[in-house]
Amino acid sequence: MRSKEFFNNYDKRIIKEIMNLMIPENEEIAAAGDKGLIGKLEKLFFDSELHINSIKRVLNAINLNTDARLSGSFFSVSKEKKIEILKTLEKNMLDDFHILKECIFGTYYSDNEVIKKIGWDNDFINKTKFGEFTLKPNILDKVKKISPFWRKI
Amino acid sequence: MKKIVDYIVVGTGASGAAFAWKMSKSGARVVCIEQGDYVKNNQYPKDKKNIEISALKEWNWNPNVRKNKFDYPIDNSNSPIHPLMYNSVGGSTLHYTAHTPRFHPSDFKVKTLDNISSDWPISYYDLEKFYDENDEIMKCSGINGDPANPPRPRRPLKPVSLGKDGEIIASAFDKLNWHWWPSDSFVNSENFNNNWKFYGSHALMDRKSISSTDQNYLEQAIKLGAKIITNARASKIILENNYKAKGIKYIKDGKETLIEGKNVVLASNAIGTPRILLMSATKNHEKGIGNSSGLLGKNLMFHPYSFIRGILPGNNKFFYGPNANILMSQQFYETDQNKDFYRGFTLQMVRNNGPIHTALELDWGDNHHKDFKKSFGNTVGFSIIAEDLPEETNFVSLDYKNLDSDGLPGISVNYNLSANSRKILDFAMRKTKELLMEAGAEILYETPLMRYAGWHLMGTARMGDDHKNSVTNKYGKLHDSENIYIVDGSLFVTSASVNPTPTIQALALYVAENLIRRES
Ligand SMILES: Cc1cc2nc3c(=O)[nH]c(=O)nc-3n(C[C@H](O)[C@H](O)[C@H](O)COP(=O)(O)OP(=O)(O)OC[C@H]3O[C@@H](n4cnc5c(N)ncnc54)[C@H](O)[C@@H]3O)c2cc1C
Repeated sequence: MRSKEFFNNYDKRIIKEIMNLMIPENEEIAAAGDKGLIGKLEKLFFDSELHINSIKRVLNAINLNTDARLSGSFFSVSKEKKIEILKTLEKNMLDDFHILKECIFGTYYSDNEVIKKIGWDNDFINKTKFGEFTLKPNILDKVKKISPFWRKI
Repeated sequence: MKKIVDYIVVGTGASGAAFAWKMSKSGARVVCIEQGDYVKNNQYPKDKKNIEISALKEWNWNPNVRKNKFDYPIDNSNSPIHPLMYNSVGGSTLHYTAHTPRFHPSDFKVKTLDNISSDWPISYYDLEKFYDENDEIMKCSGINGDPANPPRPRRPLKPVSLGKDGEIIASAFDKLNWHWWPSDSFVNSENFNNNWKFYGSHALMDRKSISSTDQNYLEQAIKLGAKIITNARASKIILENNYKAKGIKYIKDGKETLIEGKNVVLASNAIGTPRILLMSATKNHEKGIGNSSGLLGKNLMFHPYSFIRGILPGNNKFFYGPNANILMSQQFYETDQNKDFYRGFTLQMVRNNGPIHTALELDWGDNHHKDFKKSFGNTVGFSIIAEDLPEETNFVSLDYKNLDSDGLPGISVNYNLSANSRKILDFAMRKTKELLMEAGAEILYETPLMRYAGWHLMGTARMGDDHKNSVTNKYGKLHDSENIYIVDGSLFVTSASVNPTPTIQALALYVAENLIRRES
C-alpha cells in the first residue's frame, strides 16, 4: 500500500510540521521535518496499513480541532497552540499518537547523520571485548549476610 | 489401522513445548497444533540493519501492531494494559526477556496466610522438582543462595554479569540494607563472546542469547517422535459425548480438518486458551466448554507495572549486557500488616536502550535533545512488578467484530486496575525513587502504569478443588471433561509478583507427570 494513495500534500505538510515540533533543530542538525525525513518515514512505515491508519486518525483530529479551524488551519495557529493541540491528542488518542511518535522517532534516530552525531554504532557491541564483564564474587558479600527471610508454609 | 494420537497439544510456547517433550519422552504419541510457523535465524531482527525499527514493526510485542496472519485481534479498548505475545513455534518465548524467578511458597497460599483471594490446590513443593527440571532444560543462568527464596540447586549456567550500572545499583541496595540478588534468567551467560551481541531492548538480542522452546524442548520432542503441524489454527474442540473430547478442528490454508486424539491439551496462553474453549460452545455447553462454573475467561491477571528511570552521573555507556536480566529485589514481596495493601512487588533492574527506544521514552518538544543527551547510555530503570489479585470483573470474551485471518472471532479484554494494585505500585514507586537517589541518580521520568506491558497472562481458567469456583482440577483437567487439559498460565489462581514463565512450565511438566503416572 503506497502512501500516495493516502496522504495528499497538505497531509504531508502537517506531518512535516509535527516532526519539526517533536524533534526541533539543535546546534548541528535541522529539525526532523526540515531535514527532509518524510520520504524516509514513508519508506520505513507506510508499507503498514496500521501505521497509515493511525497517522490518518491523528491528522483528522488535527483538522477537526476547533482552534485550528477557527484560525483557518493548523498552520495558522501559534507554535504554543500547536503544541497544546498535539499534547491534547497525545492524551486522548493514546495508541494512535504513540504509533505516530514511533514513526517520527524511528525515522529520525535511524538517520545516518543523527546516528553519527549521537555517537552510536549499531555494531559497536560486537567490537567490544567482553572479558571484563563477569559477576564479581565479592559483590554479594553484604546481601549474603541477610538471613533467609522467605515466608515458610 | 490408524494409530490414534495420545495428546493433541494446542500451542508450542513455553508450556506446550515442555508438555510435548515430557509426554513424548514417556512414549506417548504427541501432535502439536501451532497457528504460526518456525522462525528461522535470519528472520531475527539482529540480522537486519534497522533492528530497532523491526522491533517497532514485524517484531513488535503487540500482536495488534504486527497484525501477522498468525496473530489474532485483541480489542483493548476496555483495558489500560494491553496483552502482548508472539504466536509462532516457540510462542512468546521467541520474544520474551527471559527473566525467570520462581514463585515463593507463600504465593500458593495467600488465603491461608493473608486471608485474601484463594489458595492454590497445590503447593510450591508440588512444583519444586519441575522447576528444577525446567531450569536444566531451559538452561537457567544464575547463582544460588538468594535469602529471599528457598534453596535451589546450582544453576546450570553461571550468573549474568551485573555490568558497571548493576554494580552501582547493588551497592545502593546494600547501603539501604535492602535485599537484592542477581537475576535467574533463561539467557546464555556462557561463551559470552560468541553468543552475546546485544544491547538495550531484548528484541535486538542475538538468537542464541535467549532460550526459546523451539530450540530446546521442541527440538528434543521432535526427535522423540512428536509432530508439529504449523500454520494451523485450532478452531473448535469436537466432543464425542458431553464430557469427552473426540479431537480438535484446525484451519490450515483455509481448510478445516479434524484431528482425533485421546486427550486434548490447551497450551495457548491465558488469552488463547479461553478463546478456544469459548469458541467450542455447543448446545449443551452454551457458554463454552469447561464453563459450568461461569469462570472461564474470568479472573484475568496481568502484572501491573510501573516504571521509573533515573540518570546516573557521568558520561557512561551502560549498554552492555542483557536489557533486564540483571538483578532484582524482593525486599517488599510479602504482605506487611503496617501497610494499607495486601501482598507486594518485585523490583527488576532495566538497562539502557538503543537510540530509538531511548528517545521514545522521553518527552518530545523543545527539551527533547537536552533530555536525550543527558540520558542516552546513562540511565538505569526499574520495572515494578506488582502482584495482581484475581477479580471476576477482569475477563476476556469473544469479539465477533474483529476476526482473525481464518474468520474466527478475536478477543476482547475487560480489565480494571484494582485499588490494591494501585496502592502497591504507589508505595513501590516511592521506594524505587529512594533507591535511585541512594545510587546518586536523578529521576528522569516515572510511568505510574505501563500500557504496553501485558506480557504476563494468567488466571482465565483457574485450577481448584471445588468445581463451582474453578475451571480445572489440581491436575489441569477441566472439571467438565474427562480428557481436556490446560497446562498454561490460565491455570494460575493468584499471580505472585514475579515473571510467570518458570511456574507455567513447571505446571506443564507437573500435569504431564501426573498423566504419565496415571497411564502407568
Ligand atoms: C515481550 C515479552 C516479554 C516477556 N518477558 C518475560 C520474562 O522476562 N519472564 C517471564 O517469565 N515471562 C516473560 N514473558 C511472558 C512469557 O513469554 C509467557 O509467560 C510464556 O511464553 C507463556 O507461555 P504459554 O505456553 O502459556 O504461551 P505462549 O508462549 O504465548 O504460547 C502460546 C502458543 O499457542 C499458540 N496458539 C494460540 N492459540 C492458538 C490456536 N487457536 N491454534 C493454534 N495455536 C495457537 C500461539 O501461536 C503460541 O505459539 C514475556 C512475554 C512477552 C511478550
